[in-house]
Amino acid sequence: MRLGLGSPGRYAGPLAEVSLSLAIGLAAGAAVLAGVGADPARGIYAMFSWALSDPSAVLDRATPILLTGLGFAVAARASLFNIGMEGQMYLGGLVALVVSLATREPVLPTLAGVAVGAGYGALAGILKVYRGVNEVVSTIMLNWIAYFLLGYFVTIYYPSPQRPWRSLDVPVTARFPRVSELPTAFLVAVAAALVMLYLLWWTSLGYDIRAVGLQPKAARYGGADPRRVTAISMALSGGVSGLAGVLVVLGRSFYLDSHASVMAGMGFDGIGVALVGRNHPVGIVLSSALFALMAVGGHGMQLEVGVPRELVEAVTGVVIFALAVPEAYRMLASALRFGRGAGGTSEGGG
Amino acid sequence: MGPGTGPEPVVSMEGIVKVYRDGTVALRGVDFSVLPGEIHGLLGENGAGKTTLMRILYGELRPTSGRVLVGGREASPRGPWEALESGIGMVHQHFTLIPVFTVMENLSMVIPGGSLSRIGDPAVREKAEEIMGELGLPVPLDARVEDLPVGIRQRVEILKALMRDVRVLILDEPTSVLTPLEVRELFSLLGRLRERGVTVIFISHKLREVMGITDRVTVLRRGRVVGTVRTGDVTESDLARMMVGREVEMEIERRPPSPGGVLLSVEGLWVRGEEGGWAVRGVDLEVRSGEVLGVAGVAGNGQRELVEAITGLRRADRGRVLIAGREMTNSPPRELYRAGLAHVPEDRQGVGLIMDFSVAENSVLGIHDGPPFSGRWVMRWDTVRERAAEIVRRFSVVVPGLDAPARHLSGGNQQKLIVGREIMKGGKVIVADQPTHGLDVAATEYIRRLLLEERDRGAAVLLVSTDLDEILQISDRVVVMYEGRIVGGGRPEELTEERLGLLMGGAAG
Repeated sequence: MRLGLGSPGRYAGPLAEVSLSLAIGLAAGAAVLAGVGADPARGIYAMFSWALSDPSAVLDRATPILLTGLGFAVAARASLFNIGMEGQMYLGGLVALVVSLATREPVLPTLAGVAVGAGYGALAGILKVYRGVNEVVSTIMLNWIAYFLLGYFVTIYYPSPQRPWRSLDVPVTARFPRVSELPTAFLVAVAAALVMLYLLWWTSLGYDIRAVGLQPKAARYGGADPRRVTAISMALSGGVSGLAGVLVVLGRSFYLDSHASVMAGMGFDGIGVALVGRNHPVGIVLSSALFALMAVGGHGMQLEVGVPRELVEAVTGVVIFALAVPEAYRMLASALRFGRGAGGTSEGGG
Repeated sequence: MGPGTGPEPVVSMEGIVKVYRDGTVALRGVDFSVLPGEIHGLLGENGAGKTTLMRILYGELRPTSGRVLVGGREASPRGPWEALESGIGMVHQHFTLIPVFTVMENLSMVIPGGSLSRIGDPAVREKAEEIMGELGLPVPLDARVEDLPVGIRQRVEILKALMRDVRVLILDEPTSVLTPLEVRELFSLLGRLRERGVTVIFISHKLREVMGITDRVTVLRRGRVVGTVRTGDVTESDLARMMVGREVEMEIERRPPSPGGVLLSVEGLWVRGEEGGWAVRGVDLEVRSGEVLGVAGVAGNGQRELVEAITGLRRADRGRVLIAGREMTNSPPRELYRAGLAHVPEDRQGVGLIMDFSVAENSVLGIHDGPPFSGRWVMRWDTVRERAAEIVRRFSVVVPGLDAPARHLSGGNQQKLIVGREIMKGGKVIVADQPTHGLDVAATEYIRRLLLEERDRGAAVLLVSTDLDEILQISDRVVVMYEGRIVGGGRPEELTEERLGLLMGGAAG
């Protein structure tokens, strides 16, 4: 409660955990570099210095994964495993493109993209509530449907006359502007994180979502309707994921191609971002920045130290893995009903 | 216990202090020692620090300060493996067996140097059979643990400890999960262990058991030792006084009831159970303002389903539920609460509280959605915190802080938080399901008193309990459930124990 921003002591534990994970991850990454004969210190220095020399590229990269991270987290808070951020993002981006071609301004396309993403998320939620379809299965299938819908619309209805594998460009008047290098799309993403923070900890709906996620039986006793909560959190999840697609199309790429390569994989990246950010909006803002930093800085490592691209990905993968392990473990443990009354908590001795 | 005056203690703990990370002070300088071959009771209310002290001895927790001596030498264990090395074993209240493994597989993993590779090792089986034979502790070695009843699982736990040749065996509330017959068997086993020279530390808050089985008793209260006495030198009420710090009034004063209009009525209710069969078969009930109706019965005779159907947690297939005359059959919990229902659920940790929510958040569970605790959307955390502080103050709930998770409260304080929350709703109907189950004497008495106060305020109280003393102590009328039906009842003063026993056993119509 209280935002979880109460006493500084509350943050000591998680912070120590993150620092330790980061140290382990970087050490392991350095070991990988050393293993192939590259200088680990130079490699890691190159990664950070390269990224920090181009902050707007980092923010561009962070924007969509921040949102898909939020999307994963809001479902996870209701103990739902949404891995449909990818498809929800595709549809959000596609709808934003189509609407922007008509309205030639950014607001309506944004709202439309969010709405369609939310609807697509809610679809999986409703299937779960009324038909008992597991959301993991349904969202994976919905991802493919979205992928092919996107390809279909891009190549059949809105292809660029010069380059038919990609779409028409977003009109200049419908693009999210940059204010002296700072992408406003990133500000929109951060605003979404703040909204999510407020929603989860300051509204009665957020109370219900968190209650259902922690103890569904107690939540029902507390008057929450788990079916409603499931549908709503899937819709919220889809909405922010849809926004991710909107902001890629209206904020950075300004077009789509038939394979969605401008955003491919960023929905799945949200899982890692959310896990590293402890499924908490503030943590997710920070972790999306770290992911983006490593992605952008990876180019630096490649160019300055001559590390092959595959290895760069291995190094960042190791770091992310180390950071995600604690939260992933907690989620698994609570799903498997372990970890109750684990050591270090006071216990009445009933 | 100076030098040369009697046997040396096998284990002693000196000046043990334990402060948890969240600031909860569990132990405030405890000295504790046990002699070879005794059964030593560790008695105290919920939250007195019994389990914490023993988890320190077993190496699961590190004390903030203080030391542990085994056989006169300092040996503060850094983990259970070290405790086991020095001959100390513990059987937890919640078992630590792997359910899908057989008994042998579980045993093979705990012997020194044990691992799954020793599962087929005949030496392990030989040793297990030897201990079983010596102690008369029969356990089916090749059965899967999950197929065994709780009483046998506990034997497996004890056997597991004995496989390590422990000299000190700690049992944490071992009887709480057992039937009376199993309790008797456990006690005779403990007697045989004592004969073999094993020291048993028996954690309990049940006076009668401690009186019946132990040689000496150490009483803890709020993290301090009140005293260690020889069981033969004291009476049950001496121990009760030590435990709660005052004479426990076992009698609760009751004003004569003044029943008013019917606030809760249940008409011809049929409810299905977990397996789809009828669990409640046509129950009729009426509870008036200003009276307590007790529903007695052996657990599993439809009481849970009845309560869940009344409180909106389970569908009733036939029949009606009316609150203050309004038809509320199968209404969702939120509407029932608005109509004036309060519900103290049986499962306080699984249903009554959200363990990872703070005390403040839990203090409005069920009424958080709507004024005064939230507007249309937004929570009013200041109002919530005021309510939480009021509950904590008025019902003397001991909490580390309003932001501490409910998980960090002791069982008794968790229940006080729930009862306090439900009473603060000021409802017309209070359904209390096993409200004092597992609580210590003081908390039990306090909660029963609160329910009577609510009755006197004019609420209709439906008390469902398998504890006959509780039913007889505070009910104005009693009904007995057997196989989903109400098979009889009356005023508590008219009902003899024999009559009740017959009704509960289904032997009287």
